[in-house]
Amino acid sequence: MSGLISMKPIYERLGKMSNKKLQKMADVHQKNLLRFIEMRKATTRTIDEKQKKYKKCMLDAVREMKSNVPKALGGGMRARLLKADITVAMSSRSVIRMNEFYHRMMIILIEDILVGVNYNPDRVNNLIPQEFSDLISSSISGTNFTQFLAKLKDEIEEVGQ
Amino acid sequence: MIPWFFTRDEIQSFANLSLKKKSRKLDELSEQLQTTENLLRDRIKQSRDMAERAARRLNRGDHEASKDLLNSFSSHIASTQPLMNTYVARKLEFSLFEIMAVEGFEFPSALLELRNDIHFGLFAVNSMDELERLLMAESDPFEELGIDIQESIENEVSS
Repeated sequence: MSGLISMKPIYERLGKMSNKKLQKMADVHQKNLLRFIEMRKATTRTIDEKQKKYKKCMLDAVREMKSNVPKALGGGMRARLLKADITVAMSSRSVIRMNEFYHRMMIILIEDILVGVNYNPDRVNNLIPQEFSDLISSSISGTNFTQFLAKLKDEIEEVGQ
Repeated sequence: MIPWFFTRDEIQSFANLSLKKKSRKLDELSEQLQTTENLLRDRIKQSRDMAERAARRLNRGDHEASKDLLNSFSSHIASTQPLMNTYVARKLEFSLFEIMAVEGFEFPSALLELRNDIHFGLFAVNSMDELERLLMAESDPFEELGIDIQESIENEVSS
């Protein structure tokens, strides 16, 4: 968790609020969290659909490359647009997930304060590594197509065998 | 540090608009994006038609006609790139505005307070020029599969 900046200031700010205000704040974050979860799910569905189309497009193109180059190139043009759409959708999803994470973290911090948990950076760190690493790896893979295409190439070669 | 994309004036000013104005702006951008997308799809369709016509000509043994069409196709691909860049930039902006219009949206500054090594995907570019450079490098799926389009065309034409 080298990139984690101390959350103590937020924790301290929240600690100065009344329980009633904190509860109200938690409700607002909960509603916001649900909105971003829904939005993230919808974006993921879009990415999955476009990736399937892209994969099919590329599979067809690579297959056609052996027998009919011009036709394969025509299919490749469609793949370029799909790829651009996937990259944009993945970038958007990283922003949505950051918002989702932000609201979830705020709810956790508020709940902790409401039940009187003392601030402990190690405990907070232990709460979030999985979510953070997932968030970050997904975001990076959003723009890392080399890995995605390497897998696709392997799959194409398997199909061709 | 907050990525440049989020600090642009139009992004910052959108955040301060009322819900009604945000919705109006989104409609406006959606229309603009749709027009760009339609134009791009038309160009892609034209390219595909050219490639398919070349394929038919090749099957009939009309090598010269096929060559001409493939050469046109090749220059068509190059002419599509600037439009593709515009499309991606508009789509990125529209997507961000859509997210910003959701109640509870927080700018990355709030999140960077929690963690400073978050990756922002295409939003992490430092300028529109950088976005274009990235797309130029990204937009050839064949190249990443080890297939050189130009070389394939040349081989096809010379065969």
